[in-house]
Amino acid sequence: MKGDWSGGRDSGLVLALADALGRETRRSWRIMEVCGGQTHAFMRFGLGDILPTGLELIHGPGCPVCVTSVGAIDAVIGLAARPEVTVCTFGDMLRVPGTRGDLLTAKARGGDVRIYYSPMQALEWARTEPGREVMVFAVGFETTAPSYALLLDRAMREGVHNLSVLSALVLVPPVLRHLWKDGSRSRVEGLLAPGHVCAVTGFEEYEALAREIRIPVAVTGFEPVELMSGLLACVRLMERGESGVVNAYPRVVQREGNRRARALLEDVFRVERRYLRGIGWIESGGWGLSETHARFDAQERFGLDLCHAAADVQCISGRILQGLAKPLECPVFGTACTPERPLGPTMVSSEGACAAYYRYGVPGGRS
Amino acid sequence: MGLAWFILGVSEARRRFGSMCLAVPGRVVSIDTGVDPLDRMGMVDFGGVTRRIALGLIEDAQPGDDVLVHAGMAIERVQRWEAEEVWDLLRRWEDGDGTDEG
Repeated sequence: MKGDWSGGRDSGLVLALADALGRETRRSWRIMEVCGGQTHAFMRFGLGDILPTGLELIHGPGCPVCVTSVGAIDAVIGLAARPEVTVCTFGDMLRVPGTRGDLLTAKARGGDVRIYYSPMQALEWARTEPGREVMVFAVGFETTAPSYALLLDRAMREGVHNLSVLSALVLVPPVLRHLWKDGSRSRVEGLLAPGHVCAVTGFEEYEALAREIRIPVAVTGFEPVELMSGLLACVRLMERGESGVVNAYPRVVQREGNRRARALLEDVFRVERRYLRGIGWIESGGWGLSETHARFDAQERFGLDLCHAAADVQCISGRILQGLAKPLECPVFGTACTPERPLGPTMVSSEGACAAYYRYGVPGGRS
Repeated sequence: MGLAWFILGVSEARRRFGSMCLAVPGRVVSIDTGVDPLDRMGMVDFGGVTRRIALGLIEDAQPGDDVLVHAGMAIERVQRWEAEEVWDLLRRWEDGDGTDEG
């Protein structure tokens, strides 16, 4: 296994880590895995079955598709109805319900809705179809932001006029801060920080967060060995009564992150407040276009007015995203709401907690 | 008909590319030359499948470098797995050299 990619799934190592975790966990702890990708990985690899009984995982808000506001989705559905506009975004976004329907329905009605693997494809479409307005629905966290930043940077340098971006980009630390603002609401004693977000931004901000809310944080990857070592690192801090940050993903993450990416992001974006579905307004919770790139802003270009009022009556995804509820507490989980007919975003996204429960079953076989 | 094809396309894309936080490690095979460093693209090998990937965020990227790729873009370098290193890390945490803070 030396020098291999598969080492992260080495079962001997995973079991040894589970052993250590069992020995060192002396009381009950609740740890939030911030990223939905981690929620899915925990369940996909069945790691819930080998965790000590006292260790409970609380699923976090780290699902970009889930927190994208209904107002933004409605606005994009509206744009898709315009004959001159091409709407493009990640595939996960198409089945997330807005107030009336979703983007998939908009496409079925004849709207030009396209899926990209990389946002950079939008630049290609804008170049080859100069008669069309190519609008990028930019969904994601800090991990994905550099690819939109590069897109905007190139569009600017190449003088592309028929491209625009509606930014729903979200910053993770302000969201976590928001969840902790009302201390009583938070039931979480330790955090697994999202490794791929930190690969871009580094974890200095998480050190500040750890000091502010006095919580241990382990920067954690996505392979079983990495998830288990993240948990072990976090438990060790908790058992010692310490806060602070441990980098349990040093294979990828550096304290200062990727400097080139950070410089690019700073140039293209500016921090703004963001409305998160199921959670509400977060001060400094997102990235919008900076003054120098404002002419690519789809809100300006199309005069969009995002209405964030609508709430999902039946769906408890807001509480799930805040770590206040789990999917099985939802009365319509797996009955009225399934991945084929989702009522809310956490059942749609491949990072949503409900989709993970539906796909992989109940963690640890417990209900 | 078109809709069915489209839905298949969506699930296929999800199966292949997974979640938005998913990032996949691969090895740089070749790099374009003669463009702005930020715009540099190159072929990256993901265990047999090669794709054209944006390499602009990786300083001095060279063929043979291992990178972590997300949404068509290399976001950071990545080291290959060495089991020994995991145990070293664990020992380091055990010795009380806990946080990376400061």
